[in-house]
Amino acid sequence: MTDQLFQGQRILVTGANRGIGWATCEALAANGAHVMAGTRSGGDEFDAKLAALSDQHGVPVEHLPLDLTDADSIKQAISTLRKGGTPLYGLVSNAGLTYNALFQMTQLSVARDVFEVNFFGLLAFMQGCVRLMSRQKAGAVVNISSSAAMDANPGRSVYGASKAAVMTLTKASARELAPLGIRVNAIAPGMTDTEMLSSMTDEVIAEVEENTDMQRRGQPSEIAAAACFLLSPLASYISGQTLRVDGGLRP
Amino acid sequence: MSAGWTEQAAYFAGRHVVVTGAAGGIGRATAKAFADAGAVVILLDRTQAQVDEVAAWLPPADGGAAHVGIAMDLSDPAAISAGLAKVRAVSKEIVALVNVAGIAEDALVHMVSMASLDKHLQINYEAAVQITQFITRMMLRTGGGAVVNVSSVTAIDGNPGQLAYGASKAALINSTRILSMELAGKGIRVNAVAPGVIDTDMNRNLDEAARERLLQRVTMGRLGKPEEVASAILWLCSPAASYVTGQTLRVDGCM
Repeated sequence: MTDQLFQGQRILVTGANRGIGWATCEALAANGAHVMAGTRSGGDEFDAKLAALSDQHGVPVEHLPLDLTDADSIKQAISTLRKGGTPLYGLVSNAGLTYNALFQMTQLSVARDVFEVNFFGLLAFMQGCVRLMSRQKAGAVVNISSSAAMDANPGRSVYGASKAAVMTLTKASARELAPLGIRVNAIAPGMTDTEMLSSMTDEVIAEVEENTDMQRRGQPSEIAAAACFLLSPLASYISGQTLRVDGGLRP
Repeated sequence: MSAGWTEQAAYFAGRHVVVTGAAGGIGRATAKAFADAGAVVILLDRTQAQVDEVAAWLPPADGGAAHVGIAMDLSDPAAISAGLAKVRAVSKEIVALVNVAGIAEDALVHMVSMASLDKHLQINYEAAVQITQFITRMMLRTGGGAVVNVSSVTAIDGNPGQLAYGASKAALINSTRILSMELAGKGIRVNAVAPGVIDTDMNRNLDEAARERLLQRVTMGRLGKPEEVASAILWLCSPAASYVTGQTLRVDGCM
């Protein structure tokens, strides 16, 4: 019935090596996109993974070295994207640090590190990508926020605040960029089956699942499917939104 | 492994879905989106002529089953019951229900009659609840499904002159959350969309000044197309949205 969502369009994912980032690369490839996988380090094993994904779906899948804490690395990555043949259509800002700490135990230096990646790194890289998208007056950005941005969970004051900052950035930038044909949305995943869960006890995980309408955690592929939707023409009149993909998590 | 959208939408091929308000702008586009995905659409609206016209206009369903139009007066609970019995006679296995039907009669606060308030609540909210009760009871027997309620940005933002309409649409958002709490654990996801200013008959009656005023608030600088609301509804009903429930998604061109 439908053609593939992203036939030939170049879409970049940050934090692409695992979890939600990798699942998003897979989903984009399945929808025909030319995938750029942004990670700090590559290596033979990762290259082999990218080659396998490329073969499976018959789409280009490339590695883009990117360290969001390093201004030169961001500059380099944007310059690489500018030179490549196909214009950049989409960005999924997924890279992020997690941090669990009670408020009175929160270390300012770690809080700064979290904001450095989750907010400032995302901001700087998105600015560069948007500059590229604005050339063809078409593009879409999906920022990965978190249910913690809205629910303000104990122990998550810094992480939640960094993700709330992403929500506000999403909305304000969406308003500014709408006239340029660029849509900006965010996803707020609930508890998702990634390495981030290793920082939680089994007891806490069970409690959160109990408190979720669907009574289960989410899979990275389910977050990825939502990212594909928001990037795609199916969401052509949706911008500035944060979509909770959380199985009905009760705050 | 990861599925593409084509594969995810193919879920609807040959399966039955129900769309209320199917002869209106968003309803018609929603029926079309499902039919394009291969679904058999059961169309509900006020008169038989209206729903028959839409049924004939839709592309054929996968497997060749005919789309079915059923006339239903949403202001009358008994008529709704009778219509729902006809729905069940068409199919006992419904995989998606979209509550689109609604009326909007604007009036300033002091001019809102209690009759008008009741009418908005009956048609926009209570009828949707009655239909959802019936269809989700069927879904519980067949292993689940998805419901999408069409609310409005007015329910969240408020809009002068829309006291009755806004209340009925806000009630839909609350019922979306509660239905999800009660049913998502049993395989039925429930979400809502909140359209902004969409190019339908509801907004075609606006005078030029009112239209301009509304458009100034839409940063995309244009009215939404009914098809753009329909594609969000189709996605929310599809397996691609398997972890999305209890949500209200604004489809508003960034107001």
